[in-house]
Amino acid sequence: MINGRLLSKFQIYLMIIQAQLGIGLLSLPNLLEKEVEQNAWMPVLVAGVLVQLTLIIYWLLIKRFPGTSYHEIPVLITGPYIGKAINTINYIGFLIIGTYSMILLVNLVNNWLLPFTPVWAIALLIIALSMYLVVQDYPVVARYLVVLSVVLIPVFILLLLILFQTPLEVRNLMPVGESGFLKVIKSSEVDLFAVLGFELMLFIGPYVHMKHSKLLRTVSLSNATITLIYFVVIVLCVMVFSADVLKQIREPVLYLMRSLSFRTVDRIDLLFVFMWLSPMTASVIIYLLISSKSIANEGKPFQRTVFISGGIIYLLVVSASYDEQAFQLYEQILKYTIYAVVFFLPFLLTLLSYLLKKKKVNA
Amino acid sequence: MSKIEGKELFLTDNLNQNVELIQRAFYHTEDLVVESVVFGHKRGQLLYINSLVAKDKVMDYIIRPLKSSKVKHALESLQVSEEKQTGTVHKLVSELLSGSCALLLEGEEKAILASVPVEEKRAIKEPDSEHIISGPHDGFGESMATNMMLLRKRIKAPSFKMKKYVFGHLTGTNVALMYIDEVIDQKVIHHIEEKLNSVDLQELQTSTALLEVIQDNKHSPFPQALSTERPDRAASYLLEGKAVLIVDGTPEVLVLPTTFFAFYQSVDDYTMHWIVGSFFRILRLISFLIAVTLPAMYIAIVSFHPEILPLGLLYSIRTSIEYVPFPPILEAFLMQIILEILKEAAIRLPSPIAQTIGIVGGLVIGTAVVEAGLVSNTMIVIIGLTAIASFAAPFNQMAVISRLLGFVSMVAAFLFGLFGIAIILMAIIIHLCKLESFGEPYFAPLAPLKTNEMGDFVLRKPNKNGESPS
Amino acid sequence: MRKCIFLIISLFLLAGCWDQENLSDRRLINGISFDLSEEDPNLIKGGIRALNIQSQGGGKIEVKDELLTTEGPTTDELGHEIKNYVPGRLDVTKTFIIFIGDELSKEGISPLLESFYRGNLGYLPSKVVVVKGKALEVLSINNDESPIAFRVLNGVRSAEKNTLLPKVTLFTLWNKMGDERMDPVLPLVEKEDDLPKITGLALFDQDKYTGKDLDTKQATLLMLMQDDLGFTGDIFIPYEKNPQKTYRLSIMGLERELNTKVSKDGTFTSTIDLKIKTEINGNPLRDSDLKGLEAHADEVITKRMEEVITILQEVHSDPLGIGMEIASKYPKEWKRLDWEKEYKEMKIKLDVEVDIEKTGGLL
Repeated sequence: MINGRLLSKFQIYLMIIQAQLGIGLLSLPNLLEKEVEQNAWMPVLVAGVLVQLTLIIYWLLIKRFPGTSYHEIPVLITGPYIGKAINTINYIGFLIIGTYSMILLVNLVNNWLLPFTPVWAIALLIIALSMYLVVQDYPVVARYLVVLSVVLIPVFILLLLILFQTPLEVRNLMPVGESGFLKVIKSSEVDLFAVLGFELMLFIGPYVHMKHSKLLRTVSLSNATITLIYFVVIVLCVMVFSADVLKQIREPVLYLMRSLSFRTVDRIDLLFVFMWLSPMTASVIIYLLISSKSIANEGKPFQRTVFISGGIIYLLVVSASYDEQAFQLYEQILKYTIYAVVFFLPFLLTLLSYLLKKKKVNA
Repeated sequence: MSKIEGKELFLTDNLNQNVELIQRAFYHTEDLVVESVVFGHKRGQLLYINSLVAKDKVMDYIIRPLKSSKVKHALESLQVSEEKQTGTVHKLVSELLSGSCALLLEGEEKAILASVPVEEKRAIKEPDSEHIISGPHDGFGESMATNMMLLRKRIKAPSFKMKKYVFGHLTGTNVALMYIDEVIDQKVIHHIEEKLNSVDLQELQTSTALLEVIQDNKHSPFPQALSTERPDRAASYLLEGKAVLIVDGTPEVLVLPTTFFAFYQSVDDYTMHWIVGSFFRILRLISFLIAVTLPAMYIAIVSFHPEILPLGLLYSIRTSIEYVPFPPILEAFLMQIILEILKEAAIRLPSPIAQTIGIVGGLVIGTAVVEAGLVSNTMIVIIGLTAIASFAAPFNQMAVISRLLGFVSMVAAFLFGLFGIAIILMAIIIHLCKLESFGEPYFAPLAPLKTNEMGDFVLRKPNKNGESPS
Repeated sequence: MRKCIFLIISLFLLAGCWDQENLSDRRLINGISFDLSEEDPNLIKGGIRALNIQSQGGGKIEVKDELLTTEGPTTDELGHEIKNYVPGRLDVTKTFIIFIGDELSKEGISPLLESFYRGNLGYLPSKVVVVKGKALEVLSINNDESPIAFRVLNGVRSAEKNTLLPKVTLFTLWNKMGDERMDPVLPLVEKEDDLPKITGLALFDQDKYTGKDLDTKQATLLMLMQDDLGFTGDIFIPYEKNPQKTYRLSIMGLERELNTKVSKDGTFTSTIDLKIKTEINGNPLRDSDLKGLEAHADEVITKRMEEVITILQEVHSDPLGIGMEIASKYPKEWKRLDWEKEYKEMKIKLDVEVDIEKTGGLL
């Protein structure tokens, strides 16, 4: 037990919240409205349940290997060769997700704050910052994510302001349940991708020392909080925008802010992007961390992996921004990657660990 | 000194040879006084360094008792509290240098040492750099013994202990490490001792020099130990489980490990009602943020996103910068640098002239610069606010750093607008999160989050029975 | 490592500031007007008012409110054209008011405003006003005190407070324009004695001006039916016995219920229940029969509101959102409904109840 490395309950709670928040939220209302119109809030709840199930699977897995990092588990279950192969798949998968979220982030900065600044410069700053943090390893990343929660306070105030300043049309939410159950389930996929980041939990093993039930309760609580935040934002968006408009806007949450104006400050959307930059960068940081963690443990090899992975992400982002085809390629790969890395592999490992009765014997 | 020949030298039983040996060790300096005394029937030589010993004490407690003594043993006749014997030249020399007298006797291989240092010290007065409104008004001085006395008087626990170190081959500076053994975390004290044991310096003159050698992260701009001249502050940190390093000859005492937020707490907070104290603490933290970001924000808004400003403000800024030929970054740098120069100039001058400088610099230059159309009115307001905010920090170290970081974020804002500021702020927070002061996280209790310590962090915790006050 | 950082910093300093722009190079536009061109009905005549700030040396500044006009087929081309007249970049981020001529608005205003929404710089809280006649005529009024745009803006703002106009911004207009279940209304301005005057409300069918207007008194009633009370609101009712004189009722509170029902044969009926709490603030004939005054006010208001509704139905403008009510309550019927026809024929019942709760300082 090294001092300051173990995470407390509250820290885990805030950390997972920060991990899940991010760029997905900004365009989510638009994507959902396209799918299920006025019932856009339903998929959020469905996705919340799905994430909860996934978290339980994760929990079942790390419960059997207390104090172990995720990259050791495949080796323990399936032996060194297959284990290493699984780790490599994880590495590539997380790297792709990280690259994708970084592309979105860079595009957002380009659209809203710096239209003429080249992508390579923006991406360089972000990736340098992420590498600077990630080489410090998991505990420092956890500390940083917790500090970031301060950002949530002004965001809540803004949401409250919108609630009282913008005309809300409750009738936009009706009729309820018209789009059909199947469509809701199907479109919850969109939301599932927006709340990604909870994979961070897989790597939490070496840094917690608490009752297993407590851990599950904590992560469930953060999942519930995130679902609530997303739910509120989506409902707000649907009530403020008419269906037709909502289908046109790429980032409805920002337009929500853009309509506000006060005596002391205008264009709150720009300030919001300014504040939201930190949670958005956090998702790049998290994927850089967990992809590096997938193949390297700690110390020097880990740091080297971080620098290499950061370099790869940077090159991929820059190349994607200059080539529209590359970006579309990412979008296609992304879906399968997420299913494989975030859902399928952990499920498989959990299943195998129970079938083969493999678990870590506590020394 | 005595090791010049490369080996340890010992005294012999030949008196003249011994004196010669010591004189050689001192490179025949002329303020090494050699006085002949006769004790009983033995011839003896009394050696001391003229400027380091109190003459009247030598007369009263050494020479006079020796002359009138009837005892056989010289050691017993001396009337000083600290007396010992030594046979090595090395030890003898170092004792002479710290204000002792050495008595060499004919036919004896050991010298008798008596400590009669001259005691010149400043009166205890309140430090100029850390004024408070209410609370105790004493301050540390240059003498280590006095400083230790000030702390000992405040903490009467028997577990309050001290360890002595001597650093600097040339200066031979005494350093005291003090802590309360039952309160401090043993891991922390272990870490500090390890660092202190590895110190190897030619000279040591200030506590900052010592800190630079022992701190964990040598490139961080943030001070990793709190240096204070206030004994009450040092004592309250000791009670919290921190250690204190006193360097002889400097009134600044180092408190370690420390946290970022400690630099924004003041003794005042504890002498006022807790609501008032909390209010001022929040104010100081906000002032740190202002000092780091305000000019940068202004630059970012004016040259990247003027649409953020409401109409009235935008028009007044627009008209005020109309005739300014420079980009806002240059304006800001110009004003900040003028301000820093004024501050530097005012520190060195005697206070009546410093006031004149303040008036000339602040009022005359400020107005003239605007009228000449070099800097806009708004920029003067921004820079003025920033300067005031940075001076609100209770510790000068932090005030300077917040202004320096302000420069960095100005450059970032000039290049990337709000995005640049966000990146710089994130970088500062990441740096603070990873920074450790002697093994303890620097940004605690925020990172890592310690909810049980949050009570006395931004808010000042009210005192309760059965709890420690700080 | 340190060399690397040095390299990056110098790289940025040398190449940087892609997006930086000097504020004094921006020409702030405070008002825009759109009209049909007189020469070619396919073109739009656009006018802007931009602030021209000039230094006269010695710290003195002259602020001029310049008028520039040009013609072009679309908003963007107008903007492009007008750049040729002025140095510096035209900045629409603080354009507080957009005037549209009545002829042009009959052709639809949505294409005109599209670029304000799409671009990152458009100011969404700005006001849109329809001008009876040529919009440019209003914009070109020279006023000594303040730029004309601000004069109209302040007029619109105070009218909103007095329940003479609904709070319409570019943003709320957007949501109503594209929504077939609801129609927007816009303030109507006219040039009178070389001064701009707010004369009422322009009724819209989607984004097209219907050509029919409501005067300011009718506008207040429409807003009461919309349950949209400003800060204060006054209604003047003629005395029963002496219709030449009126008494003034100030509205203190409002309760509205809009119910829409479908009968078995598929026709819709809406009922609007209004409870208006008022204070009698002017009673020149000192009629002390409050009950009588209440009953009479009921009658008068109902009659006037019916007139308003008749106009609305006639031009197929639905600012009350009855369409939205039907669409959210009876989605199936809504889908097969010919709303155009149905709205003109449907019954809208009124049930108004006026309470005089206070009588001012006198009894």
